[in-house]
Amino acid sequence: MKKSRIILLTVFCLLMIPAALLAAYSVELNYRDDIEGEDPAENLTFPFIEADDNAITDEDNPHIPADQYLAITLEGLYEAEMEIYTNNFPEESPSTDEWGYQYGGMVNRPRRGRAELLWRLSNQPGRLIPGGRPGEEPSSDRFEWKYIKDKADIDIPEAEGDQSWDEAQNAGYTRVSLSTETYIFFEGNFFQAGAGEYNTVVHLDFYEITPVDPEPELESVSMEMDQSGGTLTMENGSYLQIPENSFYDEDLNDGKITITLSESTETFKAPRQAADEEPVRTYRIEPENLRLRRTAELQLYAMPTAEFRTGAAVMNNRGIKIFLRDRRFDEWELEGGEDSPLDGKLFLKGSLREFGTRAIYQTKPLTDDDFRPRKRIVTPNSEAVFQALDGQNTKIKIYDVTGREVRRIGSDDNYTWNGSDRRGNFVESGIYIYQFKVEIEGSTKLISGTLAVAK
Amino acid sequence: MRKYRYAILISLFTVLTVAGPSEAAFKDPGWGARPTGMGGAFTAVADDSNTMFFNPAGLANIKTYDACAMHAGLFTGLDEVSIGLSLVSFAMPLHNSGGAGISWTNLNARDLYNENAFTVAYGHRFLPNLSGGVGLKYLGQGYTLDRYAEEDEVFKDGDYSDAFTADLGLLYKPQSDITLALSGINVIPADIGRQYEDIVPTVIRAGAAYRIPNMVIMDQLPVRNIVTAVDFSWRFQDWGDTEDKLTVNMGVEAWLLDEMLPVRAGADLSGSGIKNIALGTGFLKEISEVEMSIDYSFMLPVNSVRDTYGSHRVSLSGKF
Repeated sequence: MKKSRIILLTVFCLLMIPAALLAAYSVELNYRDDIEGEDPAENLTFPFIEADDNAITDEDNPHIPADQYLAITLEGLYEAEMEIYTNNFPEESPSTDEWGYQYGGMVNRPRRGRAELLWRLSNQPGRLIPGGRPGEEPSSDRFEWKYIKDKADIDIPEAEGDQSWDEAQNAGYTRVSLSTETYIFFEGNFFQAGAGEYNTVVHLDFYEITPVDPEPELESVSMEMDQSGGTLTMENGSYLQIPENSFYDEDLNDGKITITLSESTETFKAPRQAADEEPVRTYRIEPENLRLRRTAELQLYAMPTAEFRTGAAVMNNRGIKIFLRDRRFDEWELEGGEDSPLDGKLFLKGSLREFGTRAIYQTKPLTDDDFRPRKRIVTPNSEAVFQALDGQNTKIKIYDVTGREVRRIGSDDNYTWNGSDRRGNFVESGIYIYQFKVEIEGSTKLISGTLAVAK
Repeated sequence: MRKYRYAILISLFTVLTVAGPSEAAFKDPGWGARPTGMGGAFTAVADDSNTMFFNPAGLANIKTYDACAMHAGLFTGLDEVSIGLSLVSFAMPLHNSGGAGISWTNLNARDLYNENAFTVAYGHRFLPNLSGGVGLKYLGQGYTLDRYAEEDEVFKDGDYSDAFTADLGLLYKPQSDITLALSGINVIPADIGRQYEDIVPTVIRAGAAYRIPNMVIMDQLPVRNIVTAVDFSWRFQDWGDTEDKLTVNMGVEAWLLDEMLPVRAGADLSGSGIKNIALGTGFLKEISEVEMSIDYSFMLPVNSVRDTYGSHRVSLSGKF
């Protein structure tokens, strides 16, 4: 023990969390007292806080580390907030004229009113924690020490004779955000106080505890299907619904085929329309490149609705879309998908004719070109896929060079032109014009362009 | 004038040689400004070098050297639609009962597609009121390949293909003011396919034209050389319905201001109704014994391609 006084500190923690969530995460409290060389973690009591008159030191007398701290470990939590205060006057607010900030530290009335108990947050336990200047402003911004105040001690800055200083005067007790590993260092400066020993109780209240979005366990569902079709459903609500007679016979083995819908962490270069490099979620639909005769219905879970609606997405006019991976050309096809919120979850509903990897990205506002096909030459081996049209409820009209309508393409065709006419016959080679309407930011626009057909 | 004829002939052949490979266009987008102004009803009109695109028998009735150059913008005003159509044609009388012609046409979609046709044709008058004609065509088709198409099996042998075919035609004048016509375009199967067969469809055209030499409208306006015409055509294509294969073209032409100012109007219909309406005009003036004319036509699609400013054609012709 060094000179001066000591203070007994007991810590109570009130976890303001629903009991039902207790199993999902925990707040672990441990304290360390290097001075005493003990670690009585079980009772969470600091026998003493070192009353070091150098703890709050001046700039010429470099800091002395705070040797005593409380370690808070958030297990399984995404974030939490904590209020730290004493509750020495739970019934009645103290007079700031008489008591001021020091109620945070003292039960007994200090002789000269200078007996601050300070705390500081850090996520670096090994780092030395400097104190403030004695007798002046112990909680300077530079050192970020804060007063531990009484919960009722909300000072009135304009009050005459107010003895509180700076943020202690204005802030009342303190509420802070915690990181996963947080350390609370305690320091006292009692050399000017009259009493030889004080004790107080420090309350830690935890709020706004948000469980971590658990590291997704990659889900995978498989089903053996035949021409009667079926629905693959994931626990997160994603599904793939394949109608009857969707498979080409050559893809079936003894009339059956195994279909798999799975989440993936595979990463690729983001599409140019993406607002972020990272996809929101990625799914694989296998067998890769399997093509269907009929359009299947696809619903993919993206994220919690609140996360999208309240985040930067709306402010930045972002959308959220499904992209189909074109492995051959290392590119993405923008399929689109219709926002479909349900039970707090945001799904994207779309359709598919071709299996493969799909990723959900948040997107920048779309332009005309984002709807046009990437591939402009249609052949018996290559189709023109019009992009981002899921949910647009539009029809694409294909005309020949004389202006004669050759074909209308809709959602039933997955907005894909394979070069066939109304009867399914492949048209002759040449130049063709397409037109369709889309809604872009609330207004209707006619998109035109040309395609060539070759055989 | 004879010395000019050879100079113009040499110039025309030079243009045809420089302009590109001798290739062909395969679907009738309307061709020249004068026929298009008449709604494309030209099979029986067949009285200038445009006849090579409709009916080679018309060459039998060519009286002078006739050269024409035309450029068109199709479906103008649409974003990302840039389709151009160009042609050069020349016809000349060979003797009292025959005429010959050559032509080059090009249909081009910018950075995507290019289609050319080169035709050599001859028309002969067998009887005073019956002519026949034949045209030999070289068709060529090219694509601007993007990275996707380069990987496509269809283009494994390159971006260009070609084929030969022929046109045939008959022209019959039962009386001086009526002409009847029958022609077959692409009558020899021409496979321009690469990986798969792609036969350019044969088109059979039947047409009639009725001419009125003079007329005075409302006792005020003298009009000359009025021609009304109608064509029926059937395209023997493998795709589409009857309405896609059948086309009816109809149009009228009349000359005002002492045959200096032509006015034209027409339309073409498919089985489902009017497809395009067309208007045309021009200006004709004789300069140094060359009858020069500028022609313009405007064609607007009806109930099909929307928000377009239409297709515009401008041609420059000379008869000498």
